[in-house]
Amino acid sequence: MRLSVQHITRYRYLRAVSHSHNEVRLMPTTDSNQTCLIFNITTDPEATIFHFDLPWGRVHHFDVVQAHSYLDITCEAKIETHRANPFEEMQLVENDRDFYLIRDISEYYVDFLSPTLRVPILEETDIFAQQAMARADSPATASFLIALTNLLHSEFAYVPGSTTVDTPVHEVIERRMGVCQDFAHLMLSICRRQLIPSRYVSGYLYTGTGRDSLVSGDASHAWIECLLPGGQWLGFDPTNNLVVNDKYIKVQHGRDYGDVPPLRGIYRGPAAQELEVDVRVTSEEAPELIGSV
Amino acid sequence: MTLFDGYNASSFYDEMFDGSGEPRPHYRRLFEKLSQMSTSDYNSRCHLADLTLVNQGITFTVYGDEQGLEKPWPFDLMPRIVPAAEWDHIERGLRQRIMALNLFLHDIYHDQKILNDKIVPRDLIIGAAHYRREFVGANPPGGIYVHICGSDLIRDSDGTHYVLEDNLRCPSGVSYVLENRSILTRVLPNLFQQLPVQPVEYYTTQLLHNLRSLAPASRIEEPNVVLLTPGVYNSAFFEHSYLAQQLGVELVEGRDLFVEDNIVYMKTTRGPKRVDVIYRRVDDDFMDPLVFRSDSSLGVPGIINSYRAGNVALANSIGTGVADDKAVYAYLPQIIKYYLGEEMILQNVFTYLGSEPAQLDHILKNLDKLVVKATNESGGYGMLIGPQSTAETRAEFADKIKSNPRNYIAQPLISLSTAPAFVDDHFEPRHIDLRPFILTGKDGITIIPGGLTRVALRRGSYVVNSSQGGGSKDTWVLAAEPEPNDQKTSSAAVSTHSQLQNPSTQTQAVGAGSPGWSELAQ
Amino acid sequence: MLSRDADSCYWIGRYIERSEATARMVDVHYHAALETFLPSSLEDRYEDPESPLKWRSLLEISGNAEDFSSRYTRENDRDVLNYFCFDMQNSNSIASTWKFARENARSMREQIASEMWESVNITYLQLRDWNVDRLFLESPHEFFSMVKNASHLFQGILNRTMVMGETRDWLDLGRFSERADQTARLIDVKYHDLFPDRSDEADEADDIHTSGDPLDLHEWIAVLKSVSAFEMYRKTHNHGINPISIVDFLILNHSFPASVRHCTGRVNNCLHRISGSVVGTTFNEPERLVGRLLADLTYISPGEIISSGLHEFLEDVQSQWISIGSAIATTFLSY
Repeated sequence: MRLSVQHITRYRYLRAVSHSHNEVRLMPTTDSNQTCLIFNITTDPEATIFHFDLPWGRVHHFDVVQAHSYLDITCEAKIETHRANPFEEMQLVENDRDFYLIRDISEYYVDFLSPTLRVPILEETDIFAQQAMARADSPATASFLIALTNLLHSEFAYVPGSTTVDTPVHEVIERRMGVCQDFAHLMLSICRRQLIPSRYVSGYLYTGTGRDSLVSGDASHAWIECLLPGGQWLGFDPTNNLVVNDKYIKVQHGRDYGDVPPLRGIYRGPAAQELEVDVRVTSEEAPELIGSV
Repeated sequence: MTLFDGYNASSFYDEMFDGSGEPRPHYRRLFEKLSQMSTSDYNSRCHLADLTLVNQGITFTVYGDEQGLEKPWPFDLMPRIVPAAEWDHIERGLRQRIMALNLFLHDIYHDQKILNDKIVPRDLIIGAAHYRREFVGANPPGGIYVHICGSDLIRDSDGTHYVLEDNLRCPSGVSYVLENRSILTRVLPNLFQQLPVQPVEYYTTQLLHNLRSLAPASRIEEPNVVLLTPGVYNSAFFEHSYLAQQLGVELVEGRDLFVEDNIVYMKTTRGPKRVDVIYRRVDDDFMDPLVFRSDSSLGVPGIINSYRAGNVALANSIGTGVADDKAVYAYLPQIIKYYLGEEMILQNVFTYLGSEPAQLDHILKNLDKLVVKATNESGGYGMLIGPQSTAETRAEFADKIKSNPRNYIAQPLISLSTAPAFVDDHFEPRHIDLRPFILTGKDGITIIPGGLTRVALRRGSYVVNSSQGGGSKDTWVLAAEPEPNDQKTSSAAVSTHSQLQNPSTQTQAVGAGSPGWSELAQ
Repeated sequence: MLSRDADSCYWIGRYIERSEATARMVDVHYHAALETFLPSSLEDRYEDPESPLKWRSLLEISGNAEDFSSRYTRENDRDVLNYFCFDMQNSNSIASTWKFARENARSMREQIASEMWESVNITYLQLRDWNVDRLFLESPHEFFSMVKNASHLFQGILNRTMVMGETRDWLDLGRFSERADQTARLIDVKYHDLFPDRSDEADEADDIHTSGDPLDLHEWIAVLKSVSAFEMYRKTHNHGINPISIVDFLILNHSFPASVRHCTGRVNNCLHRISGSVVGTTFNEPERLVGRLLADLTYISPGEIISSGLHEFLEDVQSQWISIGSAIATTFLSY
């Protein structure tokens, strides 16, 4: 699919601020599932945009040193996505969990198996793993992950604004609700405890015409990728009960949200600010505007 | 009665006296000189030295001490002497270590060959507290990560030197090396006579040279070098201030700097001035609230990205702490072998890793015999000295180790060597270590002869850290013994003569064919 | 020069000058009062309720009267001297000002001559050995002399060791700003003290001339002495002590080191050296403000000051100094 994203972030400050330094992690990645064709970033007040590349994606950054009372950041991207049917790549029959016991695997993917600030590894998640195992169609890892995605979607309510980026996983478990980051962090926590290397993914979801039934988050979406015994990473979206396909645009992955915040900034001035985010994902095949918030 | 009456080093290796109580050959001249001194004379020299230290405000800060922030730096006048051959061995060993460590750091922040080849376990590095994944792929100038290293050496009862740790982040203490020497030459000048003590004061010249060479290519002619300090309340503030003065560079705090369009500037009374090289004495975590800890007020937002872009140089580089992790230390023999194809020259102390289940078991069973250390702490904090501990503290440590085995290592207790330290009115043996300072620049490695000899001033104590009641000594590395017909006096005589000569007679000495002029003519 | 270091220099200059001014004023006041039998506490005052309290005006000069009465119940010699000399809660006490001077010097000791740092450090260490008991045991005068000498030693080392550069200009800038402020405060409060009812009434200026009460005379001499001006004043104004001449000397004299006019001129020169601009032109806001004040002080006559109200005039001068201070901060230090 050929998709376009327009992502506008507007900050309004109560009083003028200065020395604002910002990092932007919003450029869609290019990998075997998608190609980022165009990416543009502009700001108001105008700033020189710099960038550098980390192994998992590009980081743009800019400074606005002079006093300013607002800051608008506009990102525009065009992406070609390829993975129409993710199920083709799955082994859905045999028990292949021994793969995760190989010492080389656990050592190599230590980043995606270790607890982090936002993804602790908790005994209390075992119950979800057991239930998912019971629901799964087969002992295959992929079946387990599909069942787990399904389980979390049915057990937890998507409630916008119910949590913040810092809400801990155990609180999400208690309250049985959250936003897409919470669904992702919870599923990461369960998978890592089951020794399945898994990573947090930030990105966008093209919701098409059926937008009432799917959620793509307030600004951008988040889901997870798990390493399957075949050696490939596949995406699972517990918020929407979906396996990730060509309607998903991946930006970056990391150990948790903290590695891939879409925007991170620091400035001199009072903390009080208003934030407004406007994300539009459109398809060239179906050019109507969808997914605005 | 002489100052050395009753001196007894018992079973330890004493730097000055051999097993039979005779002074070792390299100490003999010093022994003779000091034996002629009366207690009251020596005492008055000590008093003079103390007064100099207090008046000059040569102090360090003890955290959590109610008595006030600063304490004068305890300085023991009696120098520690290292003979030429011994120093040669130490120097070769240190060169080897720092070369391997720099190659190691470059590798783990780029191709990770040593991890892929399974020489060092990947999880040990990737899981280390000081591994900076944000810095993977970045290229520090000249490929150098550690520009200034301070390695801690100790000496066992059989006389063997071991390296206890290589401090690769912001090692401190070099100011005391320079200051101790300067005080000792003032207070006890006659001790230096006829001993070929190697000079140390060129340290700052070499450091400045190295720092300047790190500047971005467009700024290499007149680079602006600064020293970044956490501020006046930092325990090593005296050193920061002293070094800035000796280097002739500005001493800045985070609030003096800002970044605009990826360039670092300092605020001066004539407006912003670009900064090219930063000798930073602020830890990674506090360098940049945009990248690391956002609650840090010591750092400069945007400075890391400016560094990554090559617009400013940092010494030491970011992420060096991963290589002075005490668990990584245990792999140094393999690391040296891997990059240099050599055997380790200066030995490590045998180290048990909490991360290895079998070794963990050994640690837990032998807590009363071992020294246990947290892998990412320094300054003697987070440490258990088994043989000197109570059952209660051992139980406490056992719990800590079990809850996070990766975070702990253990080593057998090495009985540190002793050297005479002046206590009340005579010399007594006190445990010492040695921290040499190793500079790595674009054109090579420089080690000033000696380093900081730290001394545990409390009787029987092994803890030499200044934060925990340690003091220091001047360290004399002797040059190879001079030839019998000593040139020293004659050259001094010549220079005295030339002081009063008319300059015109000197220029005659430069012939028309001297290299300086002929090159210009071409 | 690093803005923060300039700021430190400015404050070192101010604090050391402040300690000296405090030492002078308390010293003179203490010894002058010994001869006037003024009551030093409220309990002592019942015999003559009209008599002014011995220490009141001094506490007011330093702007500390409120702070003092919030923590001390009696204005007796012991408490007041303790307050001015050793009270660390009083940020203007002699011990406090040296502590602050030392903290500033320590943060930039690599910028100043090591002898200068040592002189500050040694004074700080010496002061820690003093307290109010020792002050009375030895002699208050000896203590105040030590403080004054410490300030002079610092100044002497500064003059002898520091290159004529920006560091020195910032130290001087702080010192002369502080001195101008201290002199203006001193005159303002003493004037109130001696002429509480007339200060606002211009047409009674003549009376001031003729005021020959020996107690008043004694007080005015004390004022002069407290800025070390008595002997110099005698040389300049040989027709006697009268307030209008004192005002002329302490505010408008262009060469007496503690006069407001002189200090303003010195600050003006420092600012021009720092910016590199020519004296008489204005390159930035601080230069403009100081230049205007200097012109006022150069061309006004003492009679005009008295007739338009000395208190109002001094208040205006002090508020101009506040503006100058903040203009210096925003121009050079915290942009």
